[in-house]
Amino acid sequence: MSFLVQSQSKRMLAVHGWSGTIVGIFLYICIFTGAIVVFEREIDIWSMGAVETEVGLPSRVDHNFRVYSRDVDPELLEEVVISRALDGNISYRFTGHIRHPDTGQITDYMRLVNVDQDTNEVVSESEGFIGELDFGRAELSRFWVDVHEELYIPNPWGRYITGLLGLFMMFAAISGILLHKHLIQDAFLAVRKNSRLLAARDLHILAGTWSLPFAILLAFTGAFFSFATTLGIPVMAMLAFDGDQEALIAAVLPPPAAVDFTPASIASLDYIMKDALARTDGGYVQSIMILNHNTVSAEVQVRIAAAATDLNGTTLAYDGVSRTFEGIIPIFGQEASLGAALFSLLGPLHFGDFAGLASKSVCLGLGLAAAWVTATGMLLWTERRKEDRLWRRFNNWILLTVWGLPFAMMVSATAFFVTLPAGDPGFWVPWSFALAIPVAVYLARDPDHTQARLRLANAVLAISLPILRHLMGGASWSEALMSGAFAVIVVDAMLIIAGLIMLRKWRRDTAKDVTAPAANVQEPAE
Amino acid sequence: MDVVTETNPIGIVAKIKHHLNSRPRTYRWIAAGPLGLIATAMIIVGMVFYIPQGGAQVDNLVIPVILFPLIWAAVFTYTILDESLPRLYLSLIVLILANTGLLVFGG
Repeated sequence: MSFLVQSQSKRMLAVHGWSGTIVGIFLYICIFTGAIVVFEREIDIWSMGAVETEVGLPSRVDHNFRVYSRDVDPELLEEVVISRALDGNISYRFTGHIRHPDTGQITDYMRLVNVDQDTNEVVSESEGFIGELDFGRAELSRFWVDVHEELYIPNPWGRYITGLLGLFMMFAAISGILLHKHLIQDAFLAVRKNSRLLAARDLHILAGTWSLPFAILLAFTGAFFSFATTLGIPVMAMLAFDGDQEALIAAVLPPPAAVDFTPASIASLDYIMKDALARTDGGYVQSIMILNHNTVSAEVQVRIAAAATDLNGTTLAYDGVSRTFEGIIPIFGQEASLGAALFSLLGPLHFGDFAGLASKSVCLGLGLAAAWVTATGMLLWTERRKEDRLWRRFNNWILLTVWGLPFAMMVSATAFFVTLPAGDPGFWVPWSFALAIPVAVYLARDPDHTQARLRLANAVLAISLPILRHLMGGASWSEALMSGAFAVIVVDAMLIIAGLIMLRKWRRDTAKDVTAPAANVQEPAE
Repeated sequence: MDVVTETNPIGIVAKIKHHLNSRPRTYRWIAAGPLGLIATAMIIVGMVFYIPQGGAQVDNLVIPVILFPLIWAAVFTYTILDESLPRLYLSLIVLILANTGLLVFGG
């Protein structure tokens, strides 16, 4: 039963419907891309053509670290990070804080050395200010993550918009709960199959009811990540710290220790890594950071990735000279706190990476369900008002977005593979996505055929992408199988299956001359 | 019956009520939008003064920032739900003033 009086319900429904429809298109883009990038690492392995699936650092890095740090400018020994790059090589990143000649600001200046793990040979070397260096990023997943996190709009505006989308999603879920007259009953609603119209409405209610808790969780954590740095911290700093954000950050983070620059030799990193692993419950060494190398103030921080029983990883601190264990570094302050515990929950809950592939798959499924609920909700709303020309046109825009987004994403993946040999996917991935939009608009010029045409375009791209990936030098299924890079096979297989399903639906729709399922829906979601 | 005059406080209250109720949609938009955001900002800043700092001395700063979106959603929902616009405005203004008081006198 609903707890609201009629006027309250009316207002809630008006805001639920209007906000859902107006921001729904952007919300759909945010949710759909978010559901896909849950598998960011798997997409990286699939798109980069790498069959190297080893994670974490090997047990011996000390020798190479000493060799490669010998010739580095002492200014760049302030902070050294050793980690595994996406291509499987071991990356040594030497960083100093130097005044940028153009901006006059103190900026991170880095020297990157990538070393082959097996041959110990330098694969690549580069040096420059951060932002000018190529970290060998996986451009495809990075672009999709940017679309999800900030709709590819410059900071902080993109973050403001996605934060507001999270807020509206939370409100849509809360108002959905308050407006539901039969919440429990709706969770077990039998879908009426005798009418396609009623079936669409029933499915929207059923999926919407089950995904409500997940929607609130995702919206809250997502809004936090968007607003924390753009609004939460600035507002707190403005009002409680006289606008001094650095004072707020200094109050929250562990204070930096004073540095004594007396020369001293660094302890064995291999020994420290071994000790760190022994002190933690499983996991692997994700990275090592050496602060103030070659001084008596040297500190080594070992980041251990989350073990099976943890939600998050752990960072252990060691005296860099005596190799004495100094303790686990807390996220905030100088000891464990409730705030840090709550903060450390937000990431795993939003990214769904707390139980490997199982939790990621659940997150993908629930994310796609939430995207589907958003899309069908908008379609049901516009369908009810289809007598109005404006709403009818808006209905077509919704279909264009629903089917045009995966189309543009797959076009960007196609551009990625085609431009990878030339080494220019960073430029072409976003541009191809932008160029795919007018193509999708052209395909959607006739509202009666929007869904069918875009479905066919999606099907063709989904089936051809695995072939293109292989033709452009990507690993074959047998190579992937031999090296344990199952992500390559899984992503290929998912694309082919999705493509075949869309092709089948396109054929069925074309044969029956049914233009769009939503066009048959005649009743509102509520 | 309230007499609406400049010198009669009851009359001023009645005038404000009348003014709010004369344009309910506009004033609800203002409450749900800018006023709700200001109230949320003041609530999280006020929390700095009554949430225990904890052993690490950071809980009172970290927890309000984490709860910021939840509080904003709650304030937004309240601005839609309250049947009485004068009561809604009174609640938001009391919230803003109480937390401003904490900010000014709490430190």
